[in-house]
Amino acid sequence: MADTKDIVRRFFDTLCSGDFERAFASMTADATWSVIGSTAVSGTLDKAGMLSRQVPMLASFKEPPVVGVDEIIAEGDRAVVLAHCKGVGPTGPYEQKRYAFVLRVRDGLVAEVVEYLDTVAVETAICGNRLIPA
Amino acid sequence: MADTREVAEKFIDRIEGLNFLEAFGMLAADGHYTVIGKTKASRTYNGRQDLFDNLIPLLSTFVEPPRLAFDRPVVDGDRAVLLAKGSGRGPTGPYDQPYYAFVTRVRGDEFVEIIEFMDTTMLETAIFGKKLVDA
Repeated sequence: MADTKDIVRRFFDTLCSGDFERAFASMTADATWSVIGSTAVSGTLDKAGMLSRQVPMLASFKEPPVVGVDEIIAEGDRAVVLAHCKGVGPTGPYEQKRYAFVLRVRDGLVAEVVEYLDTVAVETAICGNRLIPA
Repeated sequence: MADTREVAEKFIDRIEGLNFLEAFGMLAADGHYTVIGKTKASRTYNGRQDLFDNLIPLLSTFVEPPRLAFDRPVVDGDRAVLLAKGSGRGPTGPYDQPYYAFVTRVRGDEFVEIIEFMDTTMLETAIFGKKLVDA
């Protein structure tokens, strides 16, 4: 069986190619994808939600987000993917100089993804919000 | 010399014990500590002294310091990723971080690199007195 780092590397290669359906096919049936924070895109999605909510959200970008993987750190069934991303969201420029995706694999498939990112960038570039003094 | 997991676990013990100064003191004198995002606290602090002079004072304003609980770290060579959740109360609001990640690199018994990932919007509202509105 392929090790965790190889499984995760292949998963991200497929994601970064834009083939979301094939990437999601390499996840377990009960897989979840969580985005940290309390933005409109934060929370935990199952596979159906990834296709019905996450893919349309990504498709709403004026310039698609380009993700580059910098490093994969792995131990046992867990891996952490360090990455960066740049694009133009529906409501503004979107840049994440540092992304961390924490994954768990099971039976050669990705079972869980938690996406750590700058939620302020999500609010301004994707959700159309801004921060002001309270 | 301590191995990567031992250094990570010492950091975890100190943070969970609210010994923040001792925990942050594990950054090497020439290490780098990065807080993600574009908040007032977000940047790379170059060296332990920069961290103590400029980040610690920003975080010392908590009304209730954040209490963090960690999972088992992900250790790979000199890399350790420390995952945690925690809450407290900042000077301008409740501080709730169910997803924290400290991505570290260990050298000897110190960290030469720490990148801290968290909900940056929570930092802005709980510590820096901001609120979200429609653009």
